Amino acid sequence: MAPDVKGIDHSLELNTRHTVLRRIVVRIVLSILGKSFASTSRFQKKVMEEVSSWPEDFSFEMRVNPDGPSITLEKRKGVLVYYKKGKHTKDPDLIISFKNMKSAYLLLTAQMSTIRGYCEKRMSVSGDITIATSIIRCMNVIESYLFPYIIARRVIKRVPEISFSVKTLGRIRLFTTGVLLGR
Amino acid sequence: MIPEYYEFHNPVKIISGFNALENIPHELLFLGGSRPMIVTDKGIVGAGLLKVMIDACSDSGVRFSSVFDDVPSDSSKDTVNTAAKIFHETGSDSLVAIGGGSVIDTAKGINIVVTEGGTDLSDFAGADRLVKRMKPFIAVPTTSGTGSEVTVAAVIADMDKHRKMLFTSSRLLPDVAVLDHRMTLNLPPYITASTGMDALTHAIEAYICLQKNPISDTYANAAISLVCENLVETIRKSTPKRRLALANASCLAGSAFSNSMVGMVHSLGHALGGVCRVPHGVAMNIFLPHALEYNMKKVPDLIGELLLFISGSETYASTVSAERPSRTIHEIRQMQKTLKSLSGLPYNLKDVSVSKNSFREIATAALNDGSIVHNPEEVDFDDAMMILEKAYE
Repeated sequence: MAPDVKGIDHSLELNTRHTVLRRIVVRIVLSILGKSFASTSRFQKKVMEEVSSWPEDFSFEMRVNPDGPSITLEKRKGVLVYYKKGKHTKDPDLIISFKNMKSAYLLLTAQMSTIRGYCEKRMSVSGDITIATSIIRCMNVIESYLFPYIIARRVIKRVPEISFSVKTLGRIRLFTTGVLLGR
Repeated sequence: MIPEYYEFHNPVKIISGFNALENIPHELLFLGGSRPMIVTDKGIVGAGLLKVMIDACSDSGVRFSSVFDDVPSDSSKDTVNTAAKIFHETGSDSLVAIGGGSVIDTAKGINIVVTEGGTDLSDFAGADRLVKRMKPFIAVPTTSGTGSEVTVAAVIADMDKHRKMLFTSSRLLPDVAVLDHRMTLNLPPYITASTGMDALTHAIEAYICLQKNPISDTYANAAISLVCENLVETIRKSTPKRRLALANASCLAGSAFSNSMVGMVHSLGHALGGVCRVPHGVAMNIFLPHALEYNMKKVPDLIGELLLFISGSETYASTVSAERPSRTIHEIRQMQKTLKSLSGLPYNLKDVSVSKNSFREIATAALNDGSIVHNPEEVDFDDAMMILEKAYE
């Protein structure tokens, strides 16, 4: 914006260092969450049970409004397939939207629980509420794998009971092929 | 305590009191509705309530385009689609719903179809799927329970797929809610009791659930006081003043829970209604004390605070704070017993012929109900089964 007649520049520097960093963190964590979803749908019992109740070809998108990162997951042949932004061509059946980048940052970095974020309307759901409830239960399980217990208990109402050995093996798979390849 | 962040939205204009119905033509004029379609059911017509409303509007020159009175006891997709067709054929431009929750939900469904276009309501099921501004819509409740005249939700059955579809959007809110004692003055004791307990449950769950905020709390507290002061007395002797109090209680409770949401009482109640066809208000009455007991470890202070609004300041002050939560539940149980003796309203599953064989199906359905998310305590399958066992007899 050009300076006015008094020579005062009223333009605002919007892309601060913090904003750029936040955006990068959100993109990375969202990608990890999406790939974890896809991965756990292949080996984690509770997630597999939930996904089995969804219709085949069901897809849901997690996006940051208005123009932030997004990921899509689609059920194909009984498991979830991960798509990064722009790669899934069909309209999703359900959309989970974070209202803005700051809200996404708070939720995805476990500074706020999913439930609290939902209750404070920092995220919204557009689509079938029944499947949305199932997705939330899956996210509770996935977060209990991604975060140590001390963090998980802050962000989940009740940390799912999973045996130490099952969780350890699951974490090994998740943090190797899971978050890298979504398998 | 003020939450770190909250949202509260209730743009519905509420008209309450003496000759409230007579103001409907004025409100229609203000909203730009010149050919309203009336949505109601045959029970309302048979009880003479539709005539009361039409007579109230008779000297205004308003022309109702048509009367659709085929709404069943549970709102259905086919009914909505049929009514939407009539809406178009009669050149209607607005809606006036006179009836209970089912009628108002049907009118909300009609508004979706005629505004968004298309011919099938199913295309819009879910949350926040509506993008257009709805047609002018006035709701006249004839029960004092559901609060549908001020809620963002509509529940409509899809008979083909044997499921209930939930629609939520702030666009579903009516423009005006009209509370007039003439609509409920002769409501039978059983319906008064069940819808009254529905309103009480809305208010209590709005107060203790996770999305609560100071404004919804204020509405909820007022609703709880009004129900507890007037419900039993209204059943003993119905008066215009008490009926208006209960209508206001229902409206306040509806506004409260529309903003703060509800919890496990509604999850279990919706499931019970879907699986065993138990009426909503009866289901709420059955599960309310058990859900409060279940949530007591998580939110004892909030449940204890309810005692003030249920039983008054003297009981509250004379009860030790540690005992207030259990005293709250005790008072509710006493109310249930009184209502049972006065109106026959049941308060356990055995009395409504629910078989234990249905428990697994009810528990599974309850976990998939969106309201379970807002409950203070996590509920899993085993927890739901435990509540059902406790509520059996």
